[in-house]
Amino acid sequence: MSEDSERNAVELKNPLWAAGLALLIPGLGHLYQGRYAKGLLFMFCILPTFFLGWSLGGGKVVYAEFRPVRGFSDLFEQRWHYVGQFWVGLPAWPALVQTVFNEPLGEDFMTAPEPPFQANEGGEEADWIERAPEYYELGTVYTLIAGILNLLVIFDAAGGPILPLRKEEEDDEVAKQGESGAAGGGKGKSPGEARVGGATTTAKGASRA
Amino acid sequence: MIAALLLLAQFPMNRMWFAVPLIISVSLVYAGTRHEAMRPILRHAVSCAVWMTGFIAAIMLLLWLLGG
Repeated sequence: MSEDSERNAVELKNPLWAAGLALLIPGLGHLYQGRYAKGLLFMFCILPTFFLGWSLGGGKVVYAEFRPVRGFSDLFEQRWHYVGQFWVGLPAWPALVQTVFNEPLGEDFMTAPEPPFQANEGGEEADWIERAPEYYELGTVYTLIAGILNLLVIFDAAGGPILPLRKEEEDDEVAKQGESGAAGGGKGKSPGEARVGGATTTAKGASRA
Repeated sequence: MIAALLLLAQFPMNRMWFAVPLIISVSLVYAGTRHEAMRPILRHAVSCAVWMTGFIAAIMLLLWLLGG
């Protein structure tokens, strides 16, 4: 497919539904929209990054983010990496569920560490870090980046690709707008059709969403 | 060029391998959100990966010079 032909209409179907699916599993929203190549690309980039990080950190780096809150001071002991990791979707959400219900979801790997959290006090997390000294933080970075990347994918599922606008295209668009304005308001775009960067994206059912 | 390679050889390169999967996935996903067709995505991803690698190498060089 050439660069010109990618400016054809991109079928977004229901953008909100696609964004929701992309939030559940990276790339699922694109598969729903029939954008199979991109869906698989996102899936095979983000999920391995997440699970590689998860495994580097001994399976603890996501589920250790929310610690049991038993007192006011525990609020300040949370690891805020989960703000980024959350966006990977289903693989990261057990941590949220176990925090809401205050119950560990698994026997071992999904459980949050027990206090004390400080390494010099010999807490449970200090043991985990000691088992994989460098990889614990590295795994945290991998999972965090995977979540942030899926945030981009969610926006792509909802709004289509952001194609780089060339100078001549911009000039062309300005000239067209000037012509349509002179012709008395010009032609309006059909409902559910929007110009994103250089591409025309169509959103079926956008009015329903 | 050779001097730069000799300089890179001084760094603990085993750890640098952990950057490779991140650079690949970040550049592919970033390019994927910019284009719809595969060819422009791959072209953009390659340039993005080269840019990121160069940036990381520049930061490493700077830190190495400051620490040296």
